[in-house]
Order: sequence, then structure tokens, then C-alpha cells
Amino acid sequence: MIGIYMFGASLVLLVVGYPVAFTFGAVSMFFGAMAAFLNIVPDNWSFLHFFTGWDFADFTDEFLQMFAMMPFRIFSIMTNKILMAVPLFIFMGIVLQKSDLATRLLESMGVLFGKVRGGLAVSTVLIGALLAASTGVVGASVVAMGVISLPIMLKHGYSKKLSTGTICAAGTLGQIIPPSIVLIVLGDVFQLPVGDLFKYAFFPGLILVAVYVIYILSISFLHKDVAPAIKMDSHYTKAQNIKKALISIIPPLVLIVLVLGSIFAGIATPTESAAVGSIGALILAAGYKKLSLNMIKEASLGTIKITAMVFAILIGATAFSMVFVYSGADDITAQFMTHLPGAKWGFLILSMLAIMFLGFFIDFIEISYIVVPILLPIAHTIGLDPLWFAILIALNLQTSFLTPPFGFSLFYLKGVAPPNVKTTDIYQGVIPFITLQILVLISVVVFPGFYGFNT
Amino acid sequence: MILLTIEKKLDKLIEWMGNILVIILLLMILNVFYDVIMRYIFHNSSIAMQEIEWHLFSIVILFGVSYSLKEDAHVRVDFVYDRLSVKTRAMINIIGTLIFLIPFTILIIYGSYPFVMDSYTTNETSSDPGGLKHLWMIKAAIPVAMIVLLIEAIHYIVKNINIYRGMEELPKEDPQGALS
Repeated sequence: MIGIYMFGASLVLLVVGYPVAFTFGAVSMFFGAMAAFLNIVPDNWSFLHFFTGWDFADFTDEFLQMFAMMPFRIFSIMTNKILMAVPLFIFMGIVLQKSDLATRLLESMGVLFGKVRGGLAVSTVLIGALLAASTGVVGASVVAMGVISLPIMLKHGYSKKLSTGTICAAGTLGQIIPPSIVLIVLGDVFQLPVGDLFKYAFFPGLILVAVYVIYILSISFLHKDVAPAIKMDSHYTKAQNIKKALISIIPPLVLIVLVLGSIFAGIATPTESAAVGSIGALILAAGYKKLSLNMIKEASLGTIKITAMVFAILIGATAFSMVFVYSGADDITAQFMTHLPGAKWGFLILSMLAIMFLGFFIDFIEISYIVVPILLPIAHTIGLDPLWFAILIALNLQTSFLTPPFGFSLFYLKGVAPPNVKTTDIYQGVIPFITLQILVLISVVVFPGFYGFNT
Repeated sequence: MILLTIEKKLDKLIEWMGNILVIILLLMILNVFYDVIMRYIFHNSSIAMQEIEWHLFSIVILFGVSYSLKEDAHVRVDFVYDRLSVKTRAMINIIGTLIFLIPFTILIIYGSYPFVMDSYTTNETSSDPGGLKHLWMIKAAIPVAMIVLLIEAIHYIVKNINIYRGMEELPKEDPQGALS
């Protein structure tokens, strides 16, 4: 039972705001000590005679034995080839971002698509998808589009809600469209080939893009004032604009196709492709004349920060799951989850709701490393297709980026939006997109065959 | 005043380590890239070179934890934290580091002593033929990185004491600096 209390205590303590990784580590340590203590005292022991009936050395032995596993676990993280893809993909993404990929894409596509009603929003979605496939850095995409695309949309009379909602949703596509960090982390937790996860996440990602585009086009058709057609000022002829657009789109597109293509075709591992992609991104940056020593240094430091943060959470989560299993809380959870009404469906619905609920408060990495390992053996017992379950979780976690009040994308956008865009505009703006995401999630649950799963 | 001096010195030390990590990260990227080229174009791969990949990766992630702490890049659940006063936040960081981070770090250091010593006394080598020898060295990186983390924890406490006493401005948060 200690493990269950520990879970609750962690969530409460996290609210205080001390870094998540260390909070998990320390809470596990304290509850581990408690569990060890309860394990060594005799059955008839009571708190009334606290200082008698047990041996201090027994207690420290039991406790230290439990944590003696930590270095082994840390070492297995160090030798983990899957996780090595994380810094490589992040580095590639930051380098592309720093070479102003987003700016160039947004400028040229806006000129091309602006004439259609809702066209600016549609091009924002398409660029979001392209950025997602090349960088997968959600914060960077949302910020870039918030800085460049939002003022243009607002200036041309797009509604604040549609503009902000579109940017948040499009920027968050990086979570599901490979190469995404969530999928690598889930591949590690599920012990599934990351290449397979990439492959199966690609189609739901494309469906999301299509659904967003259809939604934007319909709403701009139905409400004429939401997203008017515009005439962009341009000093260039149409042919010149198309040429400019192609120059900014084709090189990153080639890089994406090479990196993802080699993974999908099974030629290279994600780690290998990511390394080639990193070098490719540096070459592209040089081609766009953005490469400098300072830029490489900043991209590297950014990469180190994010990777180390993921690693620290992984250490904290390792301690957590050690104590969780030691105290037998995994059995209790499994007991509960396997006896739900509706068997497989009861479990699936409850776990999806739990992840979505936790997603309001904590981050996808914590959910992947703390909650998913608890659910995983149960899913295995029930006989869920792990690949399918993993993609459902990834889609679900994507929604947590958009859900008010604590969705990451909302913060990123608020941080760069002009002051007349209110937080409530953004909150209301993302609601249709959250609804669309949930519909797509449900469609993957109901029609797994359509998405290529054989459940 | 002395606290400010300590903070600056330690800050410089960790910053310097961050620069070393940049070089190691770049070496890792080149290392993986080189191995890919050798494997797919020259059909010739070296086990030792492939093992160096994860050695470099290990150093980046182990020591990066300290650098991230210095840069305040570890994620927090911040919906309450962001609304607190600067002093309360500094207090949370001081207490949290004292009772959460430092004991947990010491526990890992304590546990890794037999882990490293076993490897050293048995002269453990890579299980792959042609792999690297002296496996204890990379295993020893765990306690060494944790000791660096203790040093950074001290820096972090001192920094937050200085913030608490109003001797330092909190840095502005960078919306792009956070998590992908």
C-alpha cells in the first residue's frame, strides 16, 4: 500500500514546484525507508512501542539493499542506444530552428496561400507539420509561429481564437509526427523498436493535419469574418515567389525524407539517422549562411540541457518504480485494473482518462516514465497490442500540451503573443483543436485496422 | 559578500564544465556519424568506436544534470510556483535542495562505491570481442558526476540565499528554453 501513498504524495509535493526529477527521487527515498522499516519489524509490532522490537542495523541493511540497485539502473540508461537518439534529434532540431527554417517557410507559404479564405491558417498547419517532421521541438515551433504568423493573421482580420488555436495545435504536431522525443521515450519504456513507433505514428499524424485543415477551411467558409481572404503585399512576381518558396522548402524536405525514410525502410536505426540528420542540419545551416561557432555552441548547450533533464527524470522515475515494486503496489494496481467492468475496454478507457487527467498537471516525460510502466504489465496481461497502446498514449500525451490551464504550448504562445491577445482567447481557441485530437484518438481506438494495427 | 564570491566562482566552474560537455557532445555526434559512414559505405565497423559512442553519451547526460541545475532547466510543475514571490521560490529551492536533492545524491554515491570497486578489482572489460577495457572508468563516472552534482547543489543553495536576501535579480525566463 505504501507505493500507492507514495504516488499520491509525489503528486502533492510536485505542486510546490521543486524540480520534478529530484522530487520523485527524494520521495521514493523516504517512502522506500518506510517500506523497508515496515518490512523488518515483526508482525505484532505497533507504533506504541516505537523504539523496541526492531534492530536499526536490519533497517539500514534492508533500505540500502533496495537502493544498491540504483547504479546498475543508471548504468543501463548510460548504455542505452535508443536514448542516444534523444540528444541527436534535439540537436538537429535546434540547429534547423536556429537557421531560421520556420521564418522562411512562413513567409513564402503565406504569400502563396493567403488568397484563399483561411489560407494563412492552413499554411500555418502545413508548416507546423513540416517543422514537426524536421525538428519536433514543440516550444520552438509554437514560438516561431507565434512571432511570425500570429501578427500577420491578426493584421489581416483573422479571429484571435482561430489564429491562436491554429498555432498551438500546429506547433504541437511535433509530439506525434516523427521524429518525436515522446515516441523515443515510449519506445524505451515499451521496449519496442523506435522505428516501428515512428512508422505507426506517421499516419495518425497526417490524419490530424488533414482534420485541422478541413476544420479551418469549413469554419472560414461558414463564418466569413473569421478568416478573410487577403492580398499580401509582395515586391516579387508570382514566379519569383514560388521559386523562393521552393528554395526554402525543398532542402529541409529532402533532409526529412532521408532521415525518416532510412528509418522507415529499416536501413538505419533512429540513432544513426539522427546523427546523419544532425550533420545534414549543419550543412543546411551553412547553405543558408547561418552557421557559426556561436550558433553550434548554443545549439549544443540547449541539447545538453534538455537531454540531461530527461535523464534526471529517468533516474528519479527509476527510484520511484523500484520502491513501487518493492512495496507490492504494482500488484495492487494490477488487481484493480484487471477487474474493471468491460475487461479490456474498462482498462483502456480508465488508463486513457488517467493519462489525460495527469496530463493537465505533469509533463509527458514523467507520465511516460512513472505512469506508463505501471500500466504496461497490465496491458500485457490483458493482451493489448503494445504498438497500438503506445500510439494511443502518444496521441493522448499530445493533447496534454494543449489543455488549459497548464498546457505547454499555451504558455509558449502567451509568452510571445501581442498584449491584446488574452489568455482566454488562447484557451477558447484551442478547444476545437482539442476536440479534433480526441476524435482522432477515438478513431484510432475504434478503427485500429484503418491505421494499420492488427488488434 | 563572501556568498556572492562563492556563487560566482562555482558558477564559473560549472559553466566551464558545460563548455567541455559541448565538445564531448559534438564528438559524440561526429563519432556516431563516422560509425554510420564506416558501416554503410565501407562495411567496416569497429566495436571500440561504437562503444566510445555511449561513453561520450554517458558523460554528457551524467554531468549535464549539474549544468541543467545551474541553468534552472529542470522541469517543475509551475502553476503554483510561478505565482509565488521571489523569496518564497528561493526558499523552496533552498529547502528542496537540502532535503531532496542532496540526500538522494549521497545515496547514489554510497551505492556506487561497491558497484565501481567490483568492476575495478575484477578488471572488468567489455563483453564484446574488440571492445574497450577498463570498464570501471566509465562506471566511476557515476559517483564523480554525483559529486559534481553536490558541488552544484551547494552553488544552487548559495545562489538562492543570495536571491532571498535580495542581492540578485532572478533571470527572465526564456519561453524557448524549456522543453521540446
